[in-house]
Amino acid sequence: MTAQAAEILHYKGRELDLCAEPLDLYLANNDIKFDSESISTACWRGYIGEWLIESRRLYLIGITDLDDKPIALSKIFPDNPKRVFAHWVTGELRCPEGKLLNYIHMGYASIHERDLFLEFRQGELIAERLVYNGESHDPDAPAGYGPGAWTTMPSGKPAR
Amino acid sequence: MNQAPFWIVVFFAVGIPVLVATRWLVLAIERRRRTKFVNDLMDALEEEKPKPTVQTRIRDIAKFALLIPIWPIAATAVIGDLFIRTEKRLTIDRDEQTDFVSYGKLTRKVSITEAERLETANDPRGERPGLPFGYLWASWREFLKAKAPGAELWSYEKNSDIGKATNFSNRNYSRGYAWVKNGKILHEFAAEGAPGRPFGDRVLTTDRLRA
Repeated sequence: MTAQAAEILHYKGRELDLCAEPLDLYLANNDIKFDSESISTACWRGYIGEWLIESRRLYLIGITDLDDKPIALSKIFPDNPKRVFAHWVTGELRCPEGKLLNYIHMGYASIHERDLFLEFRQGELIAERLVYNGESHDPDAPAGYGPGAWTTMPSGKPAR
Repeated sequence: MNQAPFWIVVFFAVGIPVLVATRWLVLAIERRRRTKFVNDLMDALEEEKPKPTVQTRIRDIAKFALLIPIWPIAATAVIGDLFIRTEKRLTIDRDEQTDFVSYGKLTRKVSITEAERLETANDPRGERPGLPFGYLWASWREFLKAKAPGAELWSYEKNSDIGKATNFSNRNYSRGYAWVKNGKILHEFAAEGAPGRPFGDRVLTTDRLRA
């Protein structure tokens, strides 16, 4: 299983890598799948969600497909084209930060210097904690999260 | 008249058949518990075993003989263990039937009206649709349509907490409702959760593990 591309989270003026898929529950309940012209082993879910925390609430503000084309939110949330309050999110989401300590080519398993854990209850941010995993002394260690290798292939399906 | 020798003979006369019967019972029950595949496999392994030597046979008989003087204790312990294991197994089977692994549990039976009442939130900022389940209302209606005759609505919770030990992943939590019939989950509807897919796969449930 290839390492997976993260979602994007805007929080406190920073753009973070979100190693979680808060939209998955909504998509699974509605049996929604995204068809792109290509398939990437680094993004089996087929989309990248863009999220925002504002006034301690989590919002979905955008989705792009694997061809980097934006998917209109109104396609999956018919009444809310601008942003969607993710009230179905309860639990802890993780944003790795800092230099890479240990690359693991699987899911979101790579370990970085820090992990920011954000805990939500029904879309409301109720707690956050920063966990220090260690310090990288490798000057060439990449900063920030990202899959190291992947394969992209045509899906054979037209983009939706 | 001293009746001790008579009772000693009775003790051993009862003990030996009881121990033999206990051993037979254990083997028979174990065999019944296994699937046909496992039994065939065990038979094949048995056939491949080297024939017991005289020495092995003497050792087995000696072991059996050591149990004879304490046969009431030995038989009680073996049969007791058998029943405890049977009970444990029934519990595991029941869990498996509900299609949840250890971190999932059905919490209680609810009515549709009660579920919808519980899932209606008054959002002061007006960003959550006022319908039960908010944005999930349409999928909830679809879930209700999937009810099989005789199925009951239950609430469930799953909490895998996969990341705790390794510190590199998320706690996977979800809560929702399920149609349950004869102890088997037919459909699930997640009302809230935080899927993390720490290993690049969906949050694991038994039905997916079985697939």
